[in-house]
Amino acid sequence: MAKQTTLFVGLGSSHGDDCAGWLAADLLGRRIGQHAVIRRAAAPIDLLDWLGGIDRLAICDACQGAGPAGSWHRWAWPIPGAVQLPPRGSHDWGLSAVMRLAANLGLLPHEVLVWGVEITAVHPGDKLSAQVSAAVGAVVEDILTRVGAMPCMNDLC
Amino acid sequence: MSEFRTIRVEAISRVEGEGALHIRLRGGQVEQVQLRIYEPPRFFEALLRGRPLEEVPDITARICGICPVAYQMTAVHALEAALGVAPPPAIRQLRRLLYCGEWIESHTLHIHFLHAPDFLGYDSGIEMAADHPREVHRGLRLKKHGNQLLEVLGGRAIHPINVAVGGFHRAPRREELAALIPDFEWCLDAAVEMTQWVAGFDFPAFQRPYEMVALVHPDEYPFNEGDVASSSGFRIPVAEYERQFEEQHVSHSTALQSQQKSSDKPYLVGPLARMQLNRERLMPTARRLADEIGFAAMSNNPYTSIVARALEVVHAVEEALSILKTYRPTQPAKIACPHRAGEGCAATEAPRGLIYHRYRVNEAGAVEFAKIVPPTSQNQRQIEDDLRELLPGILAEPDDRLARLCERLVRNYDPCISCSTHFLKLHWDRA
Repeated sequence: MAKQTTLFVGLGSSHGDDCAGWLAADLLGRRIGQHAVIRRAAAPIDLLDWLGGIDRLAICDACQGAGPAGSWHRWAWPIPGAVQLPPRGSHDWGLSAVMRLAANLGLLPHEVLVWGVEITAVHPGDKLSAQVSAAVGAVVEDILTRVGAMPCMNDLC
Repeated sequence: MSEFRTIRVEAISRVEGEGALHIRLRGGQVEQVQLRIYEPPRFFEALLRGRPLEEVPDITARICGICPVAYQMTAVHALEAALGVAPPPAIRQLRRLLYCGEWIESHTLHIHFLHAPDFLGYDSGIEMAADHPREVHRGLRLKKHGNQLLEVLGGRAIHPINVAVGGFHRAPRREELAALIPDFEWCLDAAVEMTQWVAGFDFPAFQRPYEMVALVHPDEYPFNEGDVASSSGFRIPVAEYERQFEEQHVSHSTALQSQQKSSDKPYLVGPLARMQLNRERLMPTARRLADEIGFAAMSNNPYTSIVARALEVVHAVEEALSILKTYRPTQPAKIACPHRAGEGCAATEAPRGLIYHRYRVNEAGAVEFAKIVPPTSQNQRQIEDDLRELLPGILAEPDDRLARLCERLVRNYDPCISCSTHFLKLHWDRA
């Protein structure tokens, strides 16, 4: 069986609970080490540069509206029922817009998983809350479990 | 009794930032056209007051995520004028290279994702990508290489952090820039292809008698210096900019609107104006391509701004390649800029058009006054003027189509609304 490559991208920023995706990337980096392709991104559009040659994409981002703060979700893309707002300009290319573009360009791998960590409002300079930090820890364990369930992931296979 | 018809576009799509269009027609006549910029004002001029002048490039970069270089570069030139210093040619050349990166990433983004869908009948670049993947892939790669240039020179692609008053905090190593050459050789072919592609679009017949305004320089296509010139023939040093142009506050916009002082008339800045006033100073491939596609004959048509942008990408790639191939690191990367009290102004060419800054600093190196005039502020009245001219010919269209045609006209300008909303004059009426 040919080796498969999985890319994990943590989306977010340095501000408060919006750093959930980055924290997940950092924690995964410590657990999986150099054998995984793990990246942080501040803007979803960065994904487009990294999709070449991968077979599976895993994303973790902060989200709102699907549960209480500190809860988390795992979705297979496309997410049923998710509202996909059209981008108004190039300053607000959200994840759904980037994913639709990637799909139309034939760049999306056959399996895309998205982990969402519910957060509340974020203000510049905020610190990460304990509940979101705990949720990210659980998400990382879930990702590692999924990685184990995947038939092959980089040199871990 | 006259019948009113109101066309509202509450949020213009595929532009940078948030603005609306309100058009009121009475008895088949256009009564009111308002480009309503409702994004909150950001008060950058006020934020800069009291700050050390060394912080200005990093603060002004935050005005825009697409064209931060234009804000930084205009600021450093104006502050260097205030301090009476002039960086050597090697630093100037690196600044031109940085500008090349910004024009490439900004123009290719607008061409492929914001503007081309209008010509090909799509609501967005995302839908267009399904039928034109090759072109969209090409656009994404061109943008990526523009961003790479910003990363190498500026430290990062968005809000670069390596720009300083007096030069750069660090000059790139020769091998860092040389590594970009193969990609930029690809970019030149890709930019030529892109220009031929957009030159083949169908352009609505719409000619306007623009007063086009841009920097002109005797030796080069304008990025970061030159006189301010117009298509009607005036040419003034940048120091006289505020004698020629003025900003006004209108109630329907959080961005100030510019106009010509002598006539109260609007004017046009941006790629069409630069091309009209500087065409002979394009790099050879861009100039030859402009001739091949017959660009000069249609340069008063705002819809052809997409071709002007594409030609400027060819120019920027070609100039970048030239610099990348000959670059030798300069030392020091930044000249000394001793503090002194003074005032200075500068104008450069942002992707969307001429941008003007003026600063006054004190002997301790703190900013006492700042004035920033972005390109979109300068084009606002011209956009409204264009809409007034366009509307009588399309009034028979149903409201939704009419609104789309108006939005399309606005997109010719690649307006950056977020950039334009930082006016300072705020008047409170309190009972």
